[in-house]
Amino acid sequence: MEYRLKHLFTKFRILPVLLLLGFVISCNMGSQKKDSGESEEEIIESVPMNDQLVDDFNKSKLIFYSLPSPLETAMLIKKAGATFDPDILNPIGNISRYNTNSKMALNLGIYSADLSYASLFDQSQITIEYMGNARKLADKLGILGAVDEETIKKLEQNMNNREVVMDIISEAYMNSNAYLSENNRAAVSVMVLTGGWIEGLYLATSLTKGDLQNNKKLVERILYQKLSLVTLLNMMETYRDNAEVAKLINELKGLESVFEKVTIVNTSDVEARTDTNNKVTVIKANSEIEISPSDYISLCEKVEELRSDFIL
Amino acid sequence: MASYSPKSTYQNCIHRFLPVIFVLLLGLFYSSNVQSQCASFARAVVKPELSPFIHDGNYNATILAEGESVLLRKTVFEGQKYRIVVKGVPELPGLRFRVIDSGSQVLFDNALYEYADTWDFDVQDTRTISVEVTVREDNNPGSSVGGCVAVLFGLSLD
Repeated sequence: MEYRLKHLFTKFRILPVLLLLGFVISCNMGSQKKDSGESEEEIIESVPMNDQLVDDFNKSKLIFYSLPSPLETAMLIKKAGATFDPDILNPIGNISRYNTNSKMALNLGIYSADLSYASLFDQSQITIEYMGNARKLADKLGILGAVDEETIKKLEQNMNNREVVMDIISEAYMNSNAYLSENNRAAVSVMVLTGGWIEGLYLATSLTKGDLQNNKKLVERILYQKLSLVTLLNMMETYRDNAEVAKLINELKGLESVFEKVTIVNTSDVEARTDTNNKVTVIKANSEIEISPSDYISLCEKVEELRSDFIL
Repeated sequence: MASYSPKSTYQNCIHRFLPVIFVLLLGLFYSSNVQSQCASFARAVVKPELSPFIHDGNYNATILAEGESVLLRKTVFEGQKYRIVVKGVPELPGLRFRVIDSGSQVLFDNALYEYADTWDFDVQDTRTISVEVTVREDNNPGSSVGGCVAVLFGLSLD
């Protein structure tokens, strides 16, 4: 029930509507009581529970979409054997450009991806500076307590301990998204996730310099982002009624059509082997992924175009 | 004989309106408070269970009642080891979770492993999986409880 109420409040920004509805119900209550003999309690309960609203609730409850986070993307880049290039980060000074909610949200995701990438390559100073920018944007978005002075201090004190640094970054990212979700601002949260995902893709494509042969493992990971884009678009569809999200969906549709040039062929069935003692399941299968060199260049250019639009 | 007056009708409206608003605002406050507790639960209780894996930073938590399910879709990448922790508040009867491939093949079912809430996955081929979480129903048909359920992913540093 709590969840149903929460959903209704979220979906319809419903407080003003409820106030009006409550007033109308109240005014009509006397006659309804006489006509139907229903109790006051029953009438109140019947208000939010029409079939359409319950259906909407059930649909939105059904599925979570989880994108690779900035931290996961940075790990994938590092494990592919890529190097650190400070020139491809979104410049720190660009922050002064971000004055709308959508720009702030997108670039909170972008700076989160940049600082994750920097931290995995032990770039202490850059990590701290980018965390500072993430904090400023989180503050401007009204995300209370996600990144505070204590977070920055803790980061500075633990710069030599990569695990602690990664934990601080993941906590700050989770705090931002949890805060936005809890405060009926899930559309903003989706924009943060979109910014983080695009930046991860931009960092990776930039590191391959548009050449399929440059780092085959990294290229493969980039191409498999076709699957993540499906997840992202599904997630965004839930918030299409937000004008900024609708605009982003249209932009990402352009990227989707370039990703359609990527072919993924499963060459074996998936197999799962579970080791009960170690509580681990190995998921095994074979697949092949392909794109032509010219289409790969188009993909890199499209990613760069989207990212430039986000950061400028 | 009852007399009609616009003023008294208006006052009647207001008198009936206030309890309705009170109930609605109470619901809003309660629901917001429960969600806030959900984030605290995910952070304080579920996240530590990921150790020594590093939490990926994504927040997936919601309120579920007995018998209800939620599905989480995620692409997992070749060469990466993941830890999944699926946990509900103690008031809930217990959770069943299954990992399902995009071709609907069940890759893991915790019902076969004493409803373990933590399991590791060594992914050797990139693919999109679904994690289906269901709150089990207890044997008491007279009562139904709901509470926070969180699904968190951890990443191995190896």
